[in-house]
This record gives sequence, C-alpha cells and structure tokens, in this order.
Amino acid sequence: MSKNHSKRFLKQRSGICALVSMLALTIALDGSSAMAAGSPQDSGTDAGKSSESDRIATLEKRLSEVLGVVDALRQEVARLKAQKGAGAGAPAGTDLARRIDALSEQVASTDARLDEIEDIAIETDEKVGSRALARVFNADSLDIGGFLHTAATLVDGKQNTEASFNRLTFELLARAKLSQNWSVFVAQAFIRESGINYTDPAARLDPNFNVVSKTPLVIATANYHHSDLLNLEIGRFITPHGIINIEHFPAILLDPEQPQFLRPFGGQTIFANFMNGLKLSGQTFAGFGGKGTLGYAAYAASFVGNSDHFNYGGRLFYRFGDTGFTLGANVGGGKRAGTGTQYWLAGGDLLYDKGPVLWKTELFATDEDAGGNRLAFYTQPAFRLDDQWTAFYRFDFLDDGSGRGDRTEHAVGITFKPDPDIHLRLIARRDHFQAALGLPKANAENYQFSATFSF
Amino acid sequence: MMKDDRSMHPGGRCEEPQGGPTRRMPAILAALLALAALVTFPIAGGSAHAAEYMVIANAANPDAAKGDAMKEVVKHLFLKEQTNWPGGLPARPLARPAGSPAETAFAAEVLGMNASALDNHWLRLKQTKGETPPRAVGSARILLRLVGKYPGAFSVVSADEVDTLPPETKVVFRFEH
Repeated sequence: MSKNHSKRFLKQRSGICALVSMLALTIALDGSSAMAAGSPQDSGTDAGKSSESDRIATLEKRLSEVLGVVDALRQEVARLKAQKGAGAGAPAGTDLARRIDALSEQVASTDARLDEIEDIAIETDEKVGSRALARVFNADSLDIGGFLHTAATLVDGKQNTEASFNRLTFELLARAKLSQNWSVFVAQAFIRESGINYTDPAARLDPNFNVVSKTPLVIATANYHHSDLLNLEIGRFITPHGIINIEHFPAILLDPEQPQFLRPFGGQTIFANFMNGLKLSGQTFAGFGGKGTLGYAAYAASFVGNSDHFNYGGRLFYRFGDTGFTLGANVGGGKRAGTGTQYWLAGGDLLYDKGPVLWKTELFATDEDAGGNRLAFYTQPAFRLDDQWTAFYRFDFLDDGSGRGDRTEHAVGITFKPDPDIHLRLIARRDHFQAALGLPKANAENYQFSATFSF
Repeated sequence: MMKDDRSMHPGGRCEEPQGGPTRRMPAILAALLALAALVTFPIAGGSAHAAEYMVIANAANPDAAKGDAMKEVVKHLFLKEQTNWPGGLPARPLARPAGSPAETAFAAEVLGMNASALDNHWLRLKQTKGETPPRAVGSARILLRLVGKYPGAFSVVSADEVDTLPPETKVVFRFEH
C-alpha cells in the first residue's frame, strides 16, 4: 500500500516537472519572439509604442496564466505532501493503538487476577489470622465436626408428672484420610443426662429414655475402600439394619428418640445398635437408566454386652431410581446378651422420599431360642411443609418378648430448621402398655422440646 | 331494517361507534389479554434468559468425552455416592460457592435437588460416614486450573465466566438453567 503510494507520487512529481519545463520553454520562446517583434528597427515612434504595449499585455496575460499554473501546481504539491504524510503516518498510528489496546487488556486481566488473589488472601487471613494451624501427625486430611444435642422432657405418668432437661450430648466426629484407600472415622460422645425423677421399677411408665452420664465411643472404624462395590470397616460401627438405626444421629432424625426397638440406646432389644467387629459394604448403580442403586452391608461382630459371641447379618437394599422408593431386606442372627441363647432376625424396611413426603417404615421379627419371639414395627409419615418446617407422625409397636406386655407409642411432632445446621423439634408422645401378668395396663404421655446444633 | 351506523373505512373495515357495547368488549378483551401477558411474560422472559452452564472435567479423563451419558455419573460422583469415574479415575469434585448461580443451576439441573435437600444430604453423609461436601471454589480462573491439574477433577462453570477453556480441560456436557 505504501509502496504503491510512493510510486504514484513519484510519477505525479515527474509529470509536474515536465509541465513546469514546458511552461518555462514556452515563456522563453514567447519572450524572445516578443523581443524580436518589439525590436525598434526605426519604423516609427507611435507604431513602436503601440506594438510595445501589445507585447506587454500579451506578456502580462501569459504571466497571469503561468502564475495560475504555478498556483495549481503548488496546490497539487501540497495535496501530495499531505497524502504522503497521511500514508506514512497511518500504519504507525494503528500499530501503536493496537499495542496500547493489547496492553490495556493485559493490565485489566492482571488486575482481575490480582483482585481474585487478594480476595482469597483476605478470606484465608480472616480464617487463620495470626493463629497457629492445627496439623495432623500422619494423614492426608483431617475433618472434624460434631453436634450438640439437648432436650427438655415432661412426663405425665399414671402416678405423677415430672419434667427435666434430660438430654445433653456433645459428640465429636472426625475423619482422617490416611491414603487414597484408607481412612479412620471416629464419633466420640460426651453424654450428660439428668434423668427424669420418675419412680417406675418395672420401667413400664417411663418412656425408657436413657438416664445416665457416660462418654461412649460411638463409632471408631478403620476403613479400607477397595472400590464402590467393596468397603471394609474394622472396629465399632452402627449395625447396618433398617433405616433409622443407620441414620442414627439426632441431627438428621425427626424424632431423636429412636423407635422402641432401638431402646434402650446401646441395647439389644431386637438387634444391637452397635457392633464391634468387621463390616463389608458397597453399592452399584443399575436399572432406571443408571439411577437405580443396589447396595449391601454385611457384618460379623460382637455386641459389647455379649462380647464372647458373634452376631452376624446384613441388609440388601435397592433404590428405585427417581421414584423415591427404597426397599431393604434384613437378616441376622447370633447370641443374646445375658442368656447367650440363639436368635434369628428377619426384617424389611421401606422408605419413600420424594418431594414433600418422607415416609419410613420398618418391620423386624425374631425367632428366639429362649423367651418369647420379638416383633417390632413402626411407620413414620412426614410432610415437609417447606424447606424449614416438617410435620410427622409415628406409630410404633413393640413386643419385646419379655412377657411384660406389648407397648405402642404414638408420636406427633413438628420440626423446624432455621438454619441447615440447627434442628428444633416439639414432639408429643403417648405410650400405652398392655396389661401383663401382675402388671396392669398403663398409659404415659410425654412432651419434649429438643434442639440439635451441628458443626 | 336497522340502520347500520358504522361508517366504512376506505380499507373496507368497519369502525365501531364510540361508547357502544361493541366498543367496550374489545377493551375488556384487551385488558384480559394484558393481564394474561403480565402473567405469561415473566415466565417466558425467564426461559428466554436461561443461562448456559458447562460441566467441565480434566481433558485427560477419557470419560469426559462421553457427553450427556455422564450426567448421572457426575451426579453420583458429586454427591459422593460413587468415588471413581467409570474409567477408574478417582473423582475429585469441586463445588461452587453456595448460592452462586452456577451452584444453584447445577443442583437443580444435574443433581435434581434444591438447597435444602442438598444440605440434608451432606449432613447425613457427614454424620454417618464422615464425608464432607466438595470444596467450593469461587474464582472460575482458579477452578479451571484445578480441574486442569487433577485428572479426576470436575466442576461446573457458567458460559459467561469462561471465554476460552484451557487445553487441559474439556466440556463433558452443557445445560441451561
């Protein structure tokens, strides 16, 4: 572009030079002819004057023409010079602008990145500040959390009415990841319970809540993750039966007082809440377009109240994709604490969790070598009123095989989560005990406010 | 024969007499239409302004090329119900800050859960297995670097956040919300 412009300019300049030369020659020739024509040659004074003035007029005319041409040429030269200046200057200006734009973008990008890094640095500083960081002796990572659970209960029994802030549990949860496959999970509870002052030797009018102070090691397992199909846990774990026992922790339960067959906490009414031993578990996704989940858990372990014998069992479950249904089948067996007699266990659980409805149902039956066979059943429909409020009802039946009469419990409650980590509940329960040999039938009502704070 | 007091327009159309019942009917209809439009347009407007999001993974992950077929897998991996990609790579999910558009869209369109259900899920996993939610990364630039660094990593970004993806990352699938 620039080269062509220069060539054109040179060509135009050559043309102008030629034109100027021709003009000069014309003027010179005209001048000489005029001079020749104007030569006196003694032809007479008047005639000579007239001729001279003609020549002057002619010359003036020519001069005027030449000056016009010169002006035109001057303008042309000025125009060409301007063109040359513009032609030479434009690329340099464009390049500079481009470089400035690029530099501005780079500076803006660097500013944005610096802002992000400063934000992160500020956030980190707010979290850490000048404090020392906790470090793990040997682990890839360590996560610590827990919860505080408390409850106040009023029991309106047949003989008297008592109230107490009867629950105070602080539990620490920690998981250390030792490697890609190995980890340790521990739940250590610190329980301080102020028992309701309720005289009931037969434990029939008491809702059977635990009234002790202790610091149990709830869970402590070393986990080997071979694959999603095979996980091995060694140590103390939650017995993998049913729904609520697996969920176990009050923070995620609508009613923190678990169904009757799981009371007393840490007992073995139908099966033990916890076991010490070995557990295998795993799951895979099959059916319902990859949304169905098939899982299992199997264990061989001992109950602390009967540590010289093994219990065994497991659960197989299938989640039917997005339908909300999960169906579980449970089998187990082992020895009863105290008597050391054999028992066999079979049970089923059904969960429906979709939209606003959350419905849990479990049924367990045992075949006992000593004492009566046992039967436990509950169904607990719940309705999520919104993201914070949930209303529920539970019908709970237990025949514990003790001969002290079947017992049923109705619980109705409402729970409120002002924050995802805070769970407040107000629950009313009515327990009915059938008459048994030497024991009259009885009822007991209790009203409980409970709160669980997770972190 | 009744006199037709409607005047003919040059185009052949009739003009309704002012103030008559036939004049009021279109006005009512127009009001109803306007009301319907008020009700309808916000919905239509919402869908018209649906933003595009991308689930991205490390380019070295062979499962990243499987597109929409990975949607359910991504859900299981993010919720820590599954730990490895089908090809065997250990998954490393990365979340976005709670309440951010990308996280909200991902939870709704990929996980099929609202914030409350997601909170309950992580609470349950924390208490029963000691699992924690995926680490949340606010900066899209840092997120892309993390996804590009770890072979099993994946996350979600909005199309607005990213001009061009670095070569170490790849789009698994796109969705709108």
